[in-house]
Amino acid sequence: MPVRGEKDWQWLLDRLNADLGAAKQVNVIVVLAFTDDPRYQYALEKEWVGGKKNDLIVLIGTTRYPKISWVRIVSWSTAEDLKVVLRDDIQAIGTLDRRDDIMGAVRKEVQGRFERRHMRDLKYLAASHQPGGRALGIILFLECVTVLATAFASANLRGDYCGGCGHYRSYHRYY
Amino acid sequence: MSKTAITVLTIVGIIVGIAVLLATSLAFGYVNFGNEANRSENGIVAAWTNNKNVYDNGWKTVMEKAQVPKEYIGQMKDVYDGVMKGRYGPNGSQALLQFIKEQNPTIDASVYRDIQQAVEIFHNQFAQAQTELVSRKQEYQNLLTGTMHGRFYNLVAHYPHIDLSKYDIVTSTKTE
Repeated sequence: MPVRGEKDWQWLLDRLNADLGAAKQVNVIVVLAFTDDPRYQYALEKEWVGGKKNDLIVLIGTTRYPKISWVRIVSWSTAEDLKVVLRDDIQAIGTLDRRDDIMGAVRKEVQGRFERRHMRDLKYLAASHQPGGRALGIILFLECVTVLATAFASANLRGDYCGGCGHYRSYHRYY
Repeated sequence: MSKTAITVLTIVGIIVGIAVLLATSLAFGYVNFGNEANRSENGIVAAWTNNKNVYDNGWKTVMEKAQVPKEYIGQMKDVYDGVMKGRYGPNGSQALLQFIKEQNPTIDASVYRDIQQAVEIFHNQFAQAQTELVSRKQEYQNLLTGTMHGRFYNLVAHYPHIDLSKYDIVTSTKTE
């Protein structure tokens, strides 16, 4: 379905991300879904694995363009207030023709409420991570090679054994 | 020193080297595992405390906004409890709003909308906090029982050192 003013949408979105991207460490994405089923959100979350860590996905559903049927906000951010308030704000705007108002609402709420998720909050997920069998085998092999090489190198540092005088060559006295 | 003695010494040196390397690896591995397990346990306790914190903050905020007469606070707490624990299903916040409207019929439309949002926000925050607690517990169990190093070191370390059943999420009677 064609979207009126597609270039204007893109321009507004680019401006928004240019202004807030660095300041709030956010990447706003607007998705227009031509369906009246809000469960589209779950399909998108599954497909995009909830989006990237700093993404804020504004999902707008419509079947009779430009009337907005439903709105959902998807983000890994813990700012639940942003998700609820922004959803209600866009829903209240009601029509996709008012794109300046919609993007204005996004800008206002993101500026005021967005909090990016920190990696340290998700670090606990690495606790049970372990290298695979092949990686463990390679590590073990490299360890053994290192030990053997070091041991042989140490043994040979003293030079070759001289059977004639019972000394190592480095200690050998040449007369 | 004879050539045989040198060879023997070299072999002994190699064996000792491997043993020292192995012992060092095991010692560092054990310390690392202990740190990871302790961090996981601390994280679970913190996540559980955060659950209570979110629950209490939500209650205080909704109570302040709702302006329900004092004699109905107890009843409202029961409904709030049900909403947070999912007793009324996904649209459970409506039950609380209905209760507030009944006790405070003159409530302004903007305040009503404000309460509606607050209930939903805290419900979502609570659900997220619960999910994180479940996730943390799962990761910890995976560390202890689902990894090679975890199972090996835990033969000596005997984790968990906390009673994990104490740090359960709250569930509604409907789901049990």
